[in-house]
Amino acid sequence: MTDALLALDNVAVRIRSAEILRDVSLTVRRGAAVGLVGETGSGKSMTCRLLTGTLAVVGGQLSRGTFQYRGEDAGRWSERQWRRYRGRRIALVPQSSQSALDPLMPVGAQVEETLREYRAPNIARRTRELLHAVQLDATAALLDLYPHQLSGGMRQRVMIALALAGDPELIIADEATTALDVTVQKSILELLEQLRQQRGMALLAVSHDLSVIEQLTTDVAIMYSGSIVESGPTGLILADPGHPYTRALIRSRPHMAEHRARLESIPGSPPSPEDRPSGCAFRTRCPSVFDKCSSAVPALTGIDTHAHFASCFLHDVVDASLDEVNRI
Amino acid sequence: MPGRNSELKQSGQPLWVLVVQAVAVAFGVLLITFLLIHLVPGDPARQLLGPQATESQVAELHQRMHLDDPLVSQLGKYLSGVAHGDLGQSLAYPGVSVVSLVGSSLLVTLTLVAATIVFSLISGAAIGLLAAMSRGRWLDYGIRVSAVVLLATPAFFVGLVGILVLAVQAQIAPAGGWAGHYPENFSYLWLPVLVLSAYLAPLIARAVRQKARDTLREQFIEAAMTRGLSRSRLVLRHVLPNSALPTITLVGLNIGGLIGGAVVVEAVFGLPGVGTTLVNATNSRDYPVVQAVAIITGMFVVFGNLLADIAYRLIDPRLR
Repeated sequence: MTDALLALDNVAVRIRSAEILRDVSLTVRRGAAVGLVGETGSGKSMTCRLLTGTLAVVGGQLSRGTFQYRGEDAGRWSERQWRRYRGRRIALVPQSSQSALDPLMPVGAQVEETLREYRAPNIARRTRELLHAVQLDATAALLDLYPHQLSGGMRQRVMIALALAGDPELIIADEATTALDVTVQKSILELLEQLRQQRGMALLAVSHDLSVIEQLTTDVAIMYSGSIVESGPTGLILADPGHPYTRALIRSRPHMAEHRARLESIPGSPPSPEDRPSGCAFRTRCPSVFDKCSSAVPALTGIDTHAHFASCFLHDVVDASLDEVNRI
Repeated sequence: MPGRNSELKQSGQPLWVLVVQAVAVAFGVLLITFLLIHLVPGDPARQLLGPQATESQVAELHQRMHLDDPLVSQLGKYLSGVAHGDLGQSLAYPGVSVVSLVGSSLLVTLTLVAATIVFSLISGAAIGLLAAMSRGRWLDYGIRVSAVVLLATPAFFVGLVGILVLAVQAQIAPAGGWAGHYPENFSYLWLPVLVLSAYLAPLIARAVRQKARDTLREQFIEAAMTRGLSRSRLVLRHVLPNSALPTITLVGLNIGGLIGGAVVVEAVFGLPGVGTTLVNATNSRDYPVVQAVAIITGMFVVFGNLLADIAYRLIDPRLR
C-alpha cells in the first residue's frame, strides 16, 4: 500500500442530516486507472467533491472514516492546504458542457490565467504546449476564440489542457465524455488514456457508462446509494459480477452485437439518502432478495482470490452452504 | 439558466430591428411634441400669451408660428427645422434661439447624469458583489434593505437630507449653486451626483447581487475553483464581469428615470440644468423651449436605450 496515492476508508459524508455517502472505500495507486461507476444520485459527484476538497460548497462534511492522500490526512485539510493541491496535484476534468468555461473570456486567456496561478514560467509557450498536448491546433486564432465558438469536443480538450496545466499526479474525470457524440467521446477517451500513460498520472474515471470504464480502467468500484457495493479488476467484474446491482447494470448495457428487442432496465429508482431501506440499500430493487437482506447491511468482503470484493449476503449463503458441504 | 435567458431576450432581436424601432419612436416623439400645442383647447397663440395679451400680440404670434398654414405644411417646417438643429426662437427672450437657451443647460444635466452613471456603476457593482459574496447573512440583508429604502425615497427628500447632513452640518459641500467653469464646478457637482445615485446605484447593486449569486452557482466558477484559482482572481476576473454585464441594459432602461430625477435634483440644488430651464420656461409660458426640452430628453431616452443595446452586443462575445 506504500504507492497508494489516495485512499478512502469507510468514508461517510453528510449534508446536514442526510448521509449522502454512507460507506465508501476506494484506493487509487500512483499511475493507476480506476473507475467509479454508479447511477445518477449514487454519490459519484459527492465523492468527486470530497476528493477535490469542495464539499463545503454544498455544505457537506466528512462525518466518518478517513481520506488519506499520499499518507496525509486529507480529510482534515484546511481550504489553505487544499489550494496547494487543487490543480497542482489533483486535477478535475468536469462534465463536458458549455458552461465549464467562462463565456466572457477567450479560451487562451483561461489557460494562461490558470498557468499564472501556478506561477509557471514561459506562460505563452506553456499554453501552446498544453493545447498541443490535447491535440488542438494552438494558433493565435484558437487562443482568441470564446467557449461558445468551440465544438463540444474542442471544449473538452481545453478542459483537459486546463487539468494538465498544474502537471497533476491524479486526474479525476467526472463524466468527462457523457455529453459528447459517440465518435468524439471515443477520441477524448483515447486522448485521456494516452496522456495518462505518457505522463504517468493516475486516473479516476467517474461515469455511469460501463463502456467508458471498460476502455479506460484496470480497476473499478461500483457505487450504489452512497456505498461501494463491489470493487476489483475491471475485466473480472464485467465478466463475472459479484453483486446483483452490478449484474443488473451490465445487463442494462446496450450491445451492438446482440439484437435484443429491448434494453433491460433496473426496476425502480435508487433511494434518496433520507429513505434508504433498512439493511441492504439495493434490496427493494434486487431480484435475489431474501429475508436476511432487510436485517443487516452487508459488508464489503473478498469473494474470490483476485482482490475482488462485494457487499452481498448471497456470498455468505454460498460460503455457508460450501462449509456445510465440506463438513459432510 | 434563467438569468441567461432573460438577458438574451432583451437583446434577442437583430440590430436593424432595434434601429428601426428607435427611429420610429423618435419620430413619434417629434410628432407628439408637435401636436401638443394643437391639442390645447382654444387658440394656441392665445393660450401661450395668456389673458393679459392684446389682440395684436396674439395675431403677431399667430403669424410667427405659422398657425394659419395647413397642419401638414406646419409639420414639414417643424421637422425640417429639427433636422437643421433649429428649434425656433424663445418667446420669453425674443431674438434668442431655443437651441442656445437649452444647449448650455443640457451640458450641465448631461454632466450630472453621466457622472451619476459612472459613480453608480462603480459603487453599485462593488456593493452588489459584496452582498453576494458575504458569508454572513447580515451584511447581505443590510445591503438589500438599504437598497429598497433608498429606492423608495423620493429624490427631493434624499437631496434635502444630503444638504442638511453634508452641506449644513458637516459643511463638506456647498448647499447648491454652480461655478459655471471647471474645475470649480466639481465641488458643486459631487453632492447632486451622490443624491441622484441614490436612485441608480441601488438598482445596479441589486442586479449585480442577483446575477453574482447565479454566477457563483455556474459550473465554470466551480471548475476554476477546483483548478485552485485564488478567490480574488475568481471574483474579479470571472464573477464580476459576468455579473456586471446586465447592468448595461439596466442603465439604458433607466436613462428616462435619471433625466426625470435630474430635473428634481437640479431644482433642489439650484443647478442651471435642463430641469431649471424647463421650470423657468413653463412659468414664463415659453412654449418652444418646453417643446425643445421634451424633444431632446425624448431623444436621449430613445437613443440611450439603443446605445445600451449596441454596447451589450459589442461586449458580450456570445452576441457579437
